[in-house]
Amino acid sequence: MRAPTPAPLLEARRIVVRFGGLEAVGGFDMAVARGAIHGLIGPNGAGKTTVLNVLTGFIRPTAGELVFDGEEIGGLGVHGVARRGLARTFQNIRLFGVMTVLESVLVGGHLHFSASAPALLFGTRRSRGAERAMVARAHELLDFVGLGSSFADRVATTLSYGHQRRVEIARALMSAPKMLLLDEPLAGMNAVEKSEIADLVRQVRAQGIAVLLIEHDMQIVRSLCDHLTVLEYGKRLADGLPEAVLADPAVQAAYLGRAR
Amino acid sequence: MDYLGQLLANGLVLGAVYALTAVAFTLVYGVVRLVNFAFGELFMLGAFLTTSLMLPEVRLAGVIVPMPGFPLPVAALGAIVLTALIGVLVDRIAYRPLRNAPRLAPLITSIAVSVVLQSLAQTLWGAEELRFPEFYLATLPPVVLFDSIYLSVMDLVVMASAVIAMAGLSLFIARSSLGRAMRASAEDQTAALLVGIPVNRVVAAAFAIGSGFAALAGLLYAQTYGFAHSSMGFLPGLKALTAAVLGGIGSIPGAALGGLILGLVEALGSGYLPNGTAWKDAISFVLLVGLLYLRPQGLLGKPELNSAGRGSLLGGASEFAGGWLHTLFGRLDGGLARLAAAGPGAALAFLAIAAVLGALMPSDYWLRILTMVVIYGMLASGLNVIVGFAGLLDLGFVAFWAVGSYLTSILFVLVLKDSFGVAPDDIWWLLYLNLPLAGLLAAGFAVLLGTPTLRLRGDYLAIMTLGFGEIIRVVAINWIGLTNGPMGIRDIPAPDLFGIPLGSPRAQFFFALVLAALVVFAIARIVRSYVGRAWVAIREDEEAAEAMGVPTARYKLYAYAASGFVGGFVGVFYAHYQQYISPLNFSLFENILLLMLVVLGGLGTFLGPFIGALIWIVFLQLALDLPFVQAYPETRFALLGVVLIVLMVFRPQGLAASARVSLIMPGSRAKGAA
Amino acid sequence: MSHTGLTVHPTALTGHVDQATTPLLKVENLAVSYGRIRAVDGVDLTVEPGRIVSLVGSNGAGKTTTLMALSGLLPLTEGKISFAGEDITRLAPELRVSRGIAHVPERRRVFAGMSVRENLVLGAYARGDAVEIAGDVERMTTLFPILGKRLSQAAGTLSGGEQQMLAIARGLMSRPALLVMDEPTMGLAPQMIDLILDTVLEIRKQGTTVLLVEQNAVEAIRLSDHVYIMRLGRIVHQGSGSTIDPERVKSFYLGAEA
Repeated sequence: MRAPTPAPLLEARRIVVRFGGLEAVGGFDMAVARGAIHGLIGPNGAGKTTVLNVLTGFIRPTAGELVFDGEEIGGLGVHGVARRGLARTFQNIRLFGVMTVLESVLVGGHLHFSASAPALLFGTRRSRGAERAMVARAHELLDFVGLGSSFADRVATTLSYGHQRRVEIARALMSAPKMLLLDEPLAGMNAVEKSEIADLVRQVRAQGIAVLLIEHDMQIVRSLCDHLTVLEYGKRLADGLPEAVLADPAVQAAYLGRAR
Repeated sequence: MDYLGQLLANGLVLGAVYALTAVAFTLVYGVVRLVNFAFGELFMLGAFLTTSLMLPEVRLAGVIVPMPGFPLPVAALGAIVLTALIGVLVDRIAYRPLRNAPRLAPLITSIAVSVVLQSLAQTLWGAEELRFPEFYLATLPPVVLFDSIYLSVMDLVVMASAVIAMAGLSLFIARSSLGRAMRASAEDQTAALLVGIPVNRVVAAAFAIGSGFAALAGLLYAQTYGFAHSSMGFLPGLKALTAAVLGGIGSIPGAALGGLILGLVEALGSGYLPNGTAWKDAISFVLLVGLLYLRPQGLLGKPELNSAGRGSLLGGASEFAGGWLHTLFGRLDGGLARLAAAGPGAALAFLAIAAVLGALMPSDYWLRILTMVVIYGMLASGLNVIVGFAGLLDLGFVAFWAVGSYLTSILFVLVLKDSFGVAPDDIWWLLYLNLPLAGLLAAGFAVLLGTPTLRLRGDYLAIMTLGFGEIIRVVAINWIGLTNGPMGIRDIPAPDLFGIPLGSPRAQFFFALVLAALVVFAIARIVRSYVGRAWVAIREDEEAAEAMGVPTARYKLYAYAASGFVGGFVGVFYAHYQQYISPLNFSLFENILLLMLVVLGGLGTFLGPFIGALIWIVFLQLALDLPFVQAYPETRFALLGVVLIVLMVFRPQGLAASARVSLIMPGSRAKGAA
Repeated sequence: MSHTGLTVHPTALTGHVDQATTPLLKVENLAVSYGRIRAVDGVDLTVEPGRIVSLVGSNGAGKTTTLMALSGLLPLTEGKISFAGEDITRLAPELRVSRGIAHVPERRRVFAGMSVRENLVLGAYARGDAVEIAGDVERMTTLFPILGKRLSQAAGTLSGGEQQMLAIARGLMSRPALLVMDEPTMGLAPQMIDLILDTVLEIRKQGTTVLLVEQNAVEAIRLSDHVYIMRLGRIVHQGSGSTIDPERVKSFYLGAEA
């Protein structure tokens, strides 16, 4: 039976993370709808990194539930979470050193390869076919992120910052994810690059992929997100539509401080 | 009781020596996170310098040099100060430029420094043992405890010196301003700089103290066993490193505890285990491997030390090289990179040239040398899978090679010929069966080695694999029933095919060439697929690879298995080629040499290992024509060490830095690509 | 002026430095890059002696990077830094401390395994005068009484607020002319924030110039003599507490309302 309102794609309920005696996250709630661009914001030291580490399987939450597409993913580990369809990019772009753009994007498709060692050694028709299909798909994605095939054989880390970000997004999309987590994708970019990446994010949503966006540039957050969750002191401070949330005095105080 | 007491006393003496050296490792590691393998050699220098200063004259590089003939305490002090200065110098020249270099560079440099110091010592003091002069305290009658334990006065001096040195150091670290600055730098270098601590000077002080401690340990060791020798620092150095890791590297009480435990365990083990003296070296390493598996941070260490920064092993540009050196490296790099990138075409061309050379080469001597190039190239290719592609430093690779060589030798010689009287000619086909069989067996060993190392990173990984390699070597030496021990196995038959003997140098060369083609082809097939991409992704950024859905632990094991397979496979041919093997063939030095060949020729490429092997082996032969090298053959190794240090300091990314191979299956590119 | 003994570093008051006209710190056209990203791009800053100057801006504006360059922890791509009339652009970090700049870093970075007393004593490492250190430790415990009760406790066992006090006290132990503080209130409870900010005023009162990086813009504007607002690596707005436009500040943090 399907519920009248579709269940959220990702739902965090009462997530708690303790390091030793210290509580970094104290009962965090968030629900990300399918196909939405959802912003997660908060001032420095609010616990965003910890929440991110929980969502991506890097940290097992001390308590709470984390349901992704109807399945508990808390404690599945990083590649377990990736396998379930949650792909990500990194705050400081993390491309693989010497790889070309095409190779980097192909690593993102790792989950969809399977050929035994003998099949690889003897170069069976199936293993060749799989590789060819994935290469074609990688080229499609390079077009999708606006790079095109002419970049395919360049060493990824030698590209401009904005292009590297696009490679990272293509790499994440190569796993055919249900949700894309973007960790400060606009950091260090100029205004033109920012609006281009924002357009790309909208196109990702148009493909039916939900986006969880962690970002500091509120101008972009305002215009891009369908929904916003604000984190402070490891808890949810506010949740709702961007304009309403950013007008909330409590949110303003969290960012600007309150006068005594 | 008296037997036990005597063993305990011996253990304490040995433990004191290990503890002092372990402190050196731990002190420097704590401050700069560097495993300075060269402490074993500074230990040896301490012994040689003390001995020399006590003698009236010494023969240095064949020249008689007058010496002051100091009494032991004065000579010891002089040696400690000199060694401390050498330690500071080594840091300044070889390590300081690499503070922010990728993780493999300082490790390779420190191994290279070891090689240089050891070869120089051998050049200076010769290959023979230098007898430690008798000191008058040593002539006193032994002290008798509980009527049964005999302790020589010098044994007491050893223990007392160790205790005093440790107590002094603890006090210094706890109370003095410099000691406090050392602890602060160890905890947080940035914060240390921000409070005004000159961290470089603090590091130099750590090197000075560490080197002094190593020298003290070395001279006490030489005094106890009565001699100094250029290779005397190797095993105690490894044991001390083991002790430091055992106690938790970075922790000074841990180092003392680790040294003591190791000394006692070795003494008791050699006293109580059957044939214990022979096995005592294995005991230490088994202890190390076991402990790292159960508790990677050591007994008293902190877990966060078991981590390494991400990024390429050698990647990242250096700003030091300028002028002609820069141009030279740039040219070499460009050439090697083009060679590496050329892919299958270049490999075939290389093969063709080698075949023509092999067919036309008139001299058997040079044919044998070329065969060695191919063999070392294959072995280095095997190591390259794990180090170059997957980015895991493996100092135990020789073990896989040994497994292959011993498997075929034991089967052919010890089992079939000696026990069943089967003539090798009748079972020539067994060689071809052994090739894959040994590969599989070695791959099994590799997974066995790999599994406990999965939780380890960086330096700890290197140390554990090193321990594993040493265990295999000690087993090869001491399990005489299986391996014939140090005598080795003789009369291993040369290869044979359907009764056609392939024992001639030319036939052997082509045999090796065919195997090399197979090895390169197989590695290339695996690397140019999603498997190779996963390996390189792990090497470049393990966390990001994991986030892309790569089960990194499993892929690391695949890399170990593939690397082990090649080692075992080549090992089989090696045994039949040499027709004689002994544990000496599989020393840690061979592993280091293979590592250097890969670095020289290009990590993570298909032809790099062969290029490295070609450079090294041809250089080795050509250098033998020089009169100076004929007089001092060890200087060749010193030169290799110097070349590597210069390479790492001025170009930490390696000679073939921009060499890379395609990771995509040939022929699967879409039409759109240019 | 120094009843609790937070004496001003000599270079700030004596020597060839003319206090009335020479700023204590002058940063000209500072640019810092991480690889291809220019994190700080053409920043000019002036800190007059005896003032509290703040650098505010949202995450990623380049504030911490500016401070790191100031202390010599990051190489400059471009620009010049002068302190008390001396060009210190290429000076080693430890020498900047002995010139009179103390940097209280982001996230405090106390030496967690060492005692509170040792942390304080280390703060005076760059000073030549060993004799007066004990007295200064004493004075720090007057400024922060809670530290007095924890002198032999390991710094890592302190609460976040206590660690922040220790980091500030450690910085003051070098008797700096300029105390640079990077987000001293980050992650602290409101009560503790008040206490830390009161201390900033007290430190200035005792004669030490303060350069403060804060995310808490409202408070920073209130207690500073001059405020610089950073966004995307540049100074976009500046002024004193009364001349600065709060609506503009808000828009830098939260984006303009649609």
